[in-house]
Amino acid sequence: MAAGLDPAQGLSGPRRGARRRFGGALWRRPWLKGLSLLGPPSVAFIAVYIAALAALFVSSFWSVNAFTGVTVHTWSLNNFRELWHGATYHTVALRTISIAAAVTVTDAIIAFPFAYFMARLAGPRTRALLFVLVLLPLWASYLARVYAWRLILDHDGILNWSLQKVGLPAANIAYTNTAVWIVFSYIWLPFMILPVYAALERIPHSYIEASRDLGAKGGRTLRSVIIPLALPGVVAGSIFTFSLTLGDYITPILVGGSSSQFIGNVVYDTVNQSSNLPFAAAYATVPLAVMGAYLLIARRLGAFEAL
Amino acid sequence: MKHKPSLGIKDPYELNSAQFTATINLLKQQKPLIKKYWELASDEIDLFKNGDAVVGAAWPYQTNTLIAAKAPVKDLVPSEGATGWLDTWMVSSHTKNLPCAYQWLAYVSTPKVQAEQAIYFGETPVNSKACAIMDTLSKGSCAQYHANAPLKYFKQIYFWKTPIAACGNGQNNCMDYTQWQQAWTQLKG
Repeated sequence: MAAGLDPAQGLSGPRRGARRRFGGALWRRPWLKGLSLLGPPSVAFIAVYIAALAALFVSSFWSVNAFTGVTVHTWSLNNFRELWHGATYHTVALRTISIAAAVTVTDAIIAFPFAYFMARLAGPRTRALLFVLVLLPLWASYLARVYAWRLILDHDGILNWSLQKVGLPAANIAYTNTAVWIVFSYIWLPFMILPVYAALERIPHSYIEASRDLGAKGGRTLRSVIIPLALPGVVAGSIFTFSLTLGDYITPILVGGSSSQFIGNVVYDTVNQSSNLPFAAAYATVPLAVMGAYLLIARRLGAFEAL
Repeated sequence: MKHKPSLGIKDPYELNSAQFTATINLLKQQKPLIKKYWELASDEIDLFKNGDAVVGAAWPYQTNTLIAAKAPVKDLVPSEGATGWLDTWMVSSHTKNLPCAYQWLAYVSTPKVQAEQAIYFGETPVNSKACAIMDTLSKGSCAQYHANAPLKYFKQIYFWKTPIAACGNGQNNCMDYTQWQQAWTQLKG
């Protein structure tokens, strides 16, 4: 046991003894070792993360005095009742969830062949180059990339200019929900490619050989071997694309049109313009609940093993 | 106020339920014409520059920036009048240095500071003596920001005040800011 401690550290007698006793206690009781490793991060996690969520949830039952703007600490379900009966809040939530789902599906469709090529067909040099290309946009500012899309989609933008050059009619996608969908799909694509790549890379080549030996053609191997084994990766990626879209409010502001409000925008306006933090908190529980349900389904599909 | 005198609107920020509903219905009716409810002044400038918008409410800042960028735009106050916004300095009631705060307020009201702020921020100075200094700082800026406009010009602008339940006529049935906010959220949908 003493061999584990470095005598060159020169600790004096009693301190060295204390350290030795602590080491011994850790050795005799493995749970103590686990506790001392996980304890500090858990405390930070609970204090910073869970506490903030709890505060959010608790404040959603409060209200604000309309005249003074002071928070009234009386418990009521009024905020949730208003959310339940307000058609606008349903529309906004439905729009947010639908676009998040559309972005996820789009990214999965684009990412799969790309990740497949990277994992199974590309040589090491091409693969490294593709990795750089996938990760490079993440080094540029989010805002710069969204504004770049505005230059493309604008009425007099690059897209319409190109369409005009080849004699096609102008596309009016600037400041619409279609623009929001396109920009989100672009921004979150790397978060889909990486887990799908990881899942595809893990499939042993012998499985594919076995499938061929048993007489399966390319399509059948893809359907029965590759896709089922890559699915957890796709689901893991979808957690990112779905939750990131669900919580975003900047892209809808910048490229959205007259009906592009997301849950985040309503929350932001509720805090910023009417200072009604409790109502904003109540509305913010909606994406939280949606994401909770989504994670449960994802766990069923084995996404957490692919992360 | 002008097109439907039967509604009896005297002040655009003091609207009772019927007047408020009529206003919101008009906005709903106009929604198909809207490209974007912009959030940032730079958004509106982009919309005009790129041909996505042809008409919109703006501050002199947007118009001047667009004109400087050679965009074919012009601003005017419609015959119905316009809404406006006053930027104000506030003194905290908890301040320990009240004399300092007053000195600061006196300082920012001087023609020189007013002129510099007007040009930097793109707004009309309150102190009309700032006009001459504005023109020395940037030629023609006094007229550009309407700093020399007659009182008649400012009379047609309805400056923002927070809507509260108390109407100006002694009644207490006006729509307050929270209701305005809710209607706006619903309109944007």
